[in-house]
Amino acid sequence: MKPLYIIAILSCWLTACSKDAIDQYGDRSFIYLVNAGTDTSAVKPIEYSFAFHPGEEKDTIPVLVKLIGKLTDQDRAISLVVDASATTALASDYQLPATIRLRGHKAVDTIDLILHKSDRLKTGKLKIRLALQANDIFQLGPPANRYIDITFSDMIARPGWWTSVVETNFLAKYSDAKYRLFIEATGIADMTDLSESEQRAYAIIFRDFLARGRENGEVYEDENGQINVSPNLF
Amino acid sequence: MKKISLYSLISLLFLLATSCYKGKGNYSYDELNKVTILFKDGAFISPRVSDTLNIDPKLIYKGDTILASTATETFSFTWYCNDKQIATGPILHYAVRDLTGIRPYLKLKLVNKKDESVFLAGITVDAIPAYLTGWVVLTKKDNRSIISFIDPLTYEVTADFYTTMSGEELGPHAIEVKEHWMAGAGLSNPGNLLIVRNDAAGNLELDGNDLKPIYKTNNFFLGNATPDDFRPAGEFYMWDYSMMLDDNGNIYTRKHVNNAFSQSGVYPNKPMFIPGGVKFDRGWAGTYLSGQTVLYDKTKGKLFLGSDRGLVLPVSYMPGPPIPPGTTLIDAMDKELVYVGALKQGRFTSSYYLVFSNGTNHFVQKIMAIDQFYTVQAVFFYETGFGSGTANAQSIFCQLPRIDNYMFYSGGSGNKTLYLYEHGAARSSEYYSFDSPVKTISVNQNMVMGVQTHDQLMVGLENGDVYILGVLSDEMADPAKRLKKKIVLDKGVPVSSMYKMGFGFNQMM
Repeated sequence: MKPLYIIAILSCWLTACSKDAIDQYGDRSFIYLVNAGTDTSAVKPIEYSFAFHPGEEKDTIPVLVKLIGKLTDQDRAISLVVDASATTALASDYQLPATIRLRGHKAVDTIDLILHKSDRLKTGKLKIRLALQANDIFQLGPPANRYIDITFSDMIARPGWWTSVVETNFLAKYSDAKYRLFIEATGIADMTDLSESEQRAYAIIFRDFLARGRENGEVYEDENGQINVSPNLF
Repeated sequence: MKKISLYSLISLLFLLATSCYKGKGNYSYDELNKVTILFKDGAFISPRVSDTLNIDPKLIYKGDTILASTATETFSFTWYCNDKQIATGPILHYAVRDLTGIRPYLKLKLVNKKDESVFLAGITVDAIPAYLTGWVVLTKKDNRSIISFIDPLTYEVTADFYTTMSGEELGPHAIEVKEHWMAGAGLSNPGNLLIVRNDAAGNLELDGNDLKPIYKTNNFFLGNATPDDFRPAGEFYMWDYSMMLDDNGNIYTRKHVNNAFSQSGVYPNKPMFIPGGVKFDRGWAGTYLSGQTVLYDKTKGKLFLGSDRGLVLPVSYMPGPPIPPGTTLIDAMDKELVYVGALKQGRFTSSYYLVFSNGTNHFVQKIMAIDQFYTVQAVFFYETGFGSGTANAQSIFCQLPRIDNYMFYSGGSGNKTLYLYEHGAARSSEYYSFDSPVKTISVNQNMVMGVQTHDQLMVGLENGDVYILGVLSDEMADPAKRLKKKIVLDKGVPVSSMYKMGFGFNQMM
């Protein structure tokens, strides 16, 4: 009996080793979401605040999609949908292109998501989850790159660069109202990588903005009283 | 056995006794004469780089003082620079620029040919760079700005040096040359040369030693972006701060991150806010020590002070008894401010002569500006009319910064005469006459290591000639001694001129 068992097991092994058919490269195309064209890692959520863009009533968020597969001459449709179960924004808060596609000859393409400013954004953040779906043309790429969350608001918060040093030497005590004015005066919201001299120069521009405005009758106040820069700023 | 020991002891004693036998002292000795080597200017000399050393040291030998050049039979001479042999012979004839090392040490090795005795002495050479001190003239010719250097001793002209050295043109709009010292770089460092250009390309800074370009001040604006419609009209350095004035009347102020560097820190690229819509027409640098800049709003007729804390503040008179009627008020001028001459005084407090013109007559007012951090007040001394019949709309003024009493100005027919105005006596007198209109006057009140060398004036004429005039007491007393040198520069019409004082300590004295 023993030889029969051995023959049977070997037969199973042999049949188990039958060759899989392997697709040629480019036979199938995959699509996935990225934060930058060179990214290969999981897509990260996007945060946006209208507070950093004074005067804007709507703004465009570029959502990047990336191809695995062969480039083609023709545009190809992508299925990108709003996942209602994970979205708090109303349809009136945003706008996607009527047709979403990967343009010919492009391995990375941009889908314009237009965000609309509203009063609701001053008090709360809204979220949109955009999710890719497989279609006849594209299969889905890595699981971690199949959807992206875009959170947006018109809210502002103390940034990390507004340290105690910046407070003492340049901008004094933080308030949301002061930060908004600072952005309006200087056109920048982020001083993270700036030198001390550059931070000082922006603080001087802000100081003069306040003084110039006050001379024209503007009132700048926050919960701390008059909005001013640090008395140590010279 | 005992006898053997005894005999041995006796033999040893005998040997010892013979070894102590006295010498007769009949050797022949030569006296060794020490030689002291003396250098004429001591152990430290400061020739100019362009000079050639010609050193014939003195030797004190056998009680006599002789020149090395007369002792070649007795001694051999070898010269070293930083231990490398550079010459043999009693006199060192050697070009300074060929010496090696930053502060070369020259050593003379002297060998007595008779007894081979060797003597050494040395001097340190601290060479003065070719362009450390001298006159600098900015001229305009054929739509070109040309900058030339004039040696203060030989009057040798290095013409158009910026274009020669950099291979670039200054452009047609250079308006001023001035010396710029770094507050934290030490007083033994030379001041750099700043060229103010009323041009979108901005100002240039040249190295104080070799006059090579080192900075473009446009690169020191926030984000490397100059303000809109920006063309400099002046730049002023005050210890830790500097101020840029543009031809729209705006001021930009920056703090130097490291004041050991001549350019550090960034200017904001938006104009500084000055209350009341103030715009400045002109600025005059105060002295280095004062840390002040005088700014003038012609439209409002007001005087302002830029401080070395980056502030620009209006200047008002000290409160007290009324300013005499008829005085030109610095906070409500009814005449045009045409010149400000600074006196070298202290930090935060410095005096100025303000020259006003009503179109016909000129007036000079002396004030002392006191920077009180958040306010600036001025002590009023006096105001008096001057230059009646001599000063005119083309007059150029030059107050001596270290001698309060003297202010020179041009005037007379065709603006071809230089006058000396003495504040104390309120008296004008003709100092020198030229054959072409005066365009620039600058002064050198120079002291090197506390020694007054040559106070002089340079007068630049429209025809391109430059005159160096003496202003020391004997030269003031005797008109025949006033002309030191006439230089036919021939590089166009002078626009601005200065004396480059060199080391920082020169302008502190």
